[in-house]
Amino acid sequence: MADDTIFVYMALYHSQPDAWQDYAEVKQLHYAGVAVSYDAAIVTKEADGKVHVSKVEKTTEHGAWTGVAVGAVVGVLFPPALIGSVAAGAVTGGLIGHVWKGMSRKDMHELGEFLDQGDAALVVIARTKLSDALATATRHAKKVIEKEIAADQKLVEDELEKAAAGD
Amino acid sequence: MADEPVFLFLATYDTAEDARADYEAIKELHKDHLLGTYDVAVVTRDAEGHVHLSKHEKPTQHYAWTGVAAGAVLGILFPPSLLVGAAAGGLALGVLGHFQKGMSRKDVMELGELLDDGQAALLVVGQSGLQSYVEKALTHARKHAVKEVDLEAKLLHDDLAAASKDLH
Repeated sequence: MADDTIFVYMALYHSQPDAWQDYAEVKQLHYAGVAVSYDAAIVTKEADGKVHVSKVEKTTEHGAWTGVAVGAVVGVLFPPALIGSVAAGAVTGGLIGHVWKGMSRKDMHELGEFLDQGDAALVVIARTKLSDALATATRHAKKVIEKEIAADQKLVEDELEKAAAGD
Repeated sequence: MADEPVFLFLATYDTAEDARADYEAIKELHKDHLLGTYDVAVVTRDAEGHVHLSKHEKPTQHYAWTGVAAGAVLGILFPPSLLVGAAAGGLALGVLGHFQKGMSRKDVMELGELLDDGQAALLVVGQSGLQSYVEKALTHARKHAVKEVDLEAKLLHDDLAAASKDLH
């Protein structure tokens, strides 16, 4: 697999409890080494359109699962006025620039419209393709989507470690 | 549909000089009261991809030509980390929210792709009836697009007036 690509996987749910159930499944796969990911978090929307990124893990290794990478993707798809809460450094740090430069406007459009269709989503960012590995883990999802982001994995990992060190 | 449609007009150019020439043409239309414009600004990108917004006027009316409305549109098309100077001026204001709600993701994609395609651009935010006057006035543009924003013009007036006070 080329080291100049990262993957964003999104699963959309009818309810937040459904999303959290699948989050727990993805976490199991991550720690079992089956689907190792940079980040995973639940993205929710309020009635007024505000978007929140929620995660339950503490930083465990090399800046993984901090919510920063998911927050950076959300920061590309939604304007600042609509972002209610994301991990510190997600929108202001360098990672959002890498994510933005690595996505086509068409992909931003499709991922944004995907998130617009529901109030709860599970978003996972990884260095390898996830759709096969997570097919069973996200069985509560009503639909899923996966896109590639052209981004140097080393730079992404450096940004995640920097963000984690700032916590 | 909103009470009084607001239009975004985006034209791209080979050079910033061409964009500024058309900026002057729009300014003449505005002076002659032929065109009700909320905001007009030249947009350029530097080698690092940062987005700059240039405006040359001091606010002449309650709210017009402050760069706030154009900055708010840029705040939807680009992430905050790429906006510098006046281009970042519209981010913290409610104006951005009005534009975001009034534009489809498809419109955002199309305007973004158009901006990505040129070295410089002219962004015009104006009232209904803008299109025909602007198209005639802009003689240097390479490509252009017009989008109608579904927002309440009254809200835009009020927020731009408040923003203008903060700028003084």
